Amino acid sequence: MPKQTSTWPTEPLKRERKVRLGSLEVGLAMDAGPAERLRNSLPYRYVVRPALSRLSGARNGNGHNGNGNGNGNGHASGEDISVYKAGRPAAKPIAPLTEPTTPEARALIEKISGYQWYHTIDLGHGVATPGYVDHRAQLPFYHLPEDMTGMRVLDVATFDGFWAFEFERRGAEVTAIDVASMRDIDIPTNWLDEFDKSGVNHEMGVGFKIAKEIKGSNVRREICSVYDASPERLGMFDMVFTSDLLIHLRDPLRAMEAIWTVTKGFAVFADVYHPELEAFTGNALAQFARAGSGRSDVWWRPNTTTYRVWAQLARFSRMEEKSRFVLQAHFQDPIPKVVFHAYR
Amino acid sequence: MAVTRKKDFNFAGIRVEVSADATRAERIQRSRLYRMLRPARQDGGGAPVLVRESAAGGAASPVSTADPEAQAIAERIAGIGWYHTIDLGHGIATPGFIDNRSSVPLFGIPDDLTGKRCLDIGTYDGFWAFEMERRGASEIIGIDVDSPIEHDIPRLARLKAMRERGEAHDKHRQVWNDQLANIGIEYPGQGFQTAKQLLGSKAQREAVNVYDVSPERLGMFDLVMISQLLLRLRDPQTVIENMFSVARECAIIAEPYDPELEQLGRPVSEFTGTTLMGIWWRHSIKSMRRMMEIAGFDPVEEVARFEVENRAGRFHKVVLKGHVPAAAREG
Repeated sequence: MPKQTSTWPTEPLKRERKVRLGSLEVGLAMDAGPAERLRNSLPYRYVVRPALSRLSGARNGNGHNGNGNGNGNGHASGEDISVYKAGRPAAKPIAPLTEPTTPEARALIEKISGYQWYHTIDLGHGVATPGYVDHRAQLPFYHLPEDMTGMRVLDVATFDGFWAFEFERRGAEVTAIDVASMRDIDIPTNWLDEFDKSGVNHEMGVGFKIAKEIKGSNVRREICSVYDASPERLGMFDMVFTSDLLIHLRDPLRAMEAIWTVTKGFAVFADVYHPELEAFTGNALAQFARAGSGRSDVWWRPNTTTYRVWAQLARFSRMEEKSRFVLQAHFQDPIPKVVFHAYR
Repeated sequence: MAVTRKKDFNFAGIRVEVSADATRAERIQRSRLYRMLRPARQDGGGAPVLVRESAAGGAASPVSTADPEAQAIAERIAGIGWYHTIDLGHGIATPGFIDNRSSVPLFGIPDDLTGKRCLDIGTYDGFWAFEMERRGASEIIGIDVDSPIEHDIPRLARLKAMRERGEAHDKHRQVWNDQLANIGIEYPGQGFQTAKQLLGSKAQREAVNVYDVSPERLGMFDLVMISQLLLRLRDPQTVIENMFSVARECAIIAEPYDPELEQLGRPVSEFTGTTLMGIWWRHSIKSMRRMMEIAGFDPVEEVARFEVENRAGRFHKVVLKGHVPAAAREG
């Protein structure tokens, strides 16, 4: 999915604290940044905190950590979530196309210009598409078979086709599916009107076509939503691959169920997880689409436990975690990814 | 009955929430100091909140043997697995699984619905449909599924877990089976139709799945209401978008929330689709509010938070009211 705006993190974290004073319960909540400064200030450390501790500790015998976490259901302490701070490196500009040194390179650059690439794809002659996302150096994190000869592989939501072309290079027979238009992406119905009125051409697959032609690829691209994947429609596959897709779906479980129906060997779920909710290992927690005025193309941002539960419900017999890393991409904020292999 | 009062307000970027039991709160509110310092009423988060414990329902009301009509009603409602406790007159109420009667004022339903067309989603025995009618609504449609097969439940997980765990979960299985029995497999909507007849109601029950709600199917409604169902839906967003598509004025969402998730300060939900009770998600209020905003409701107002106790246990509930913006109403 194209993400040209920052989608991570979403809003300032809040730090909350509850103090019981007799029959009165007082809760305070403020942005984590100022809260951190306040907590570290001398008056707070030497006057306020001891006073609060004594007051609340004396009343409920629960020390100063009486914030409702002592129920043993696996939630980590409230401290953990508010202390987390995502590093925010400045957005890297997309590397300019290298100066063409040969006529072949010049011709390639001409072919790929004028389109906003999502994937960075090597095209030979020292030319690569200037994509938002560059998976090239991070391929080992996905633990894919080096030799895919004889494998039938499905690339779900292929976009510009980076993964499909990579599987083909490794010898697989590849089918790639995607939606026909941005309009068919799982967006709020409320947005459709605006989409239609905007007059913008939302056709998908422009980059795929260009790259496929340049590469002389035989990958078959079909219009099919992941929700509609079925053996009748697509056949069965030794490997089904998805990357950065599930977070963009309102019903990720339904997608995983559909993928299960066409998986003969294993499915790769390489998606974004929520590092802060990761602290709650016992619970399948997910953050719903970002709040505030901005629009997000992310529906759910789950922790890894959630992915495991979904895979189990989708009938995969087991799922192995292969790696975690931060996606190399031109987004303002780091995107933490996890790679799972789920077996039929 | 212990009643707690909560109040929250903003103070230079710091949100302060104070809760106290009602008598104490009353005393504080009357004090001169408080009246001098009383925080200005905020939009949104400033709604006063009542937390209430209500007695669990379930037992059939005793019938006066002197009243033949009461006896006739008691005979009519016997043998039906009631979900809602509904007053039928003559001192008789159905022995429901959930008794909303004492918390009705917290649901933000307009007192006067004269001439309004209303939709009650997941109507079951029709408690809310009849309540809307009592307030003057001219046409009420209650929708529900006719068969448990249509329920949005993780069937596979449920069956597998039951098979694997067997005896250990007998209690859950019993509760679940009771619930299935409640639906009335042989006679869908038995509770609704019986109560409707006894009340002389004009409310209509239609077998429509929540995922199929659309203006083409049902037309438009002044008020759309859903209570105690969203947590049982794997794809709540689609259902809320469907509600928006048929809402002319506003929609009321009255659902359980998880206070711990709410404390995280973000729209976080917990996926619980592996439980035997068919609950897909535990939501924070922020999640549900966000879902309504994305569906198009603007503004989304919090009507009340309170605690409910019934045979299913004790849980926190929030009532959110989403308004249809004028622009969407015209378009």
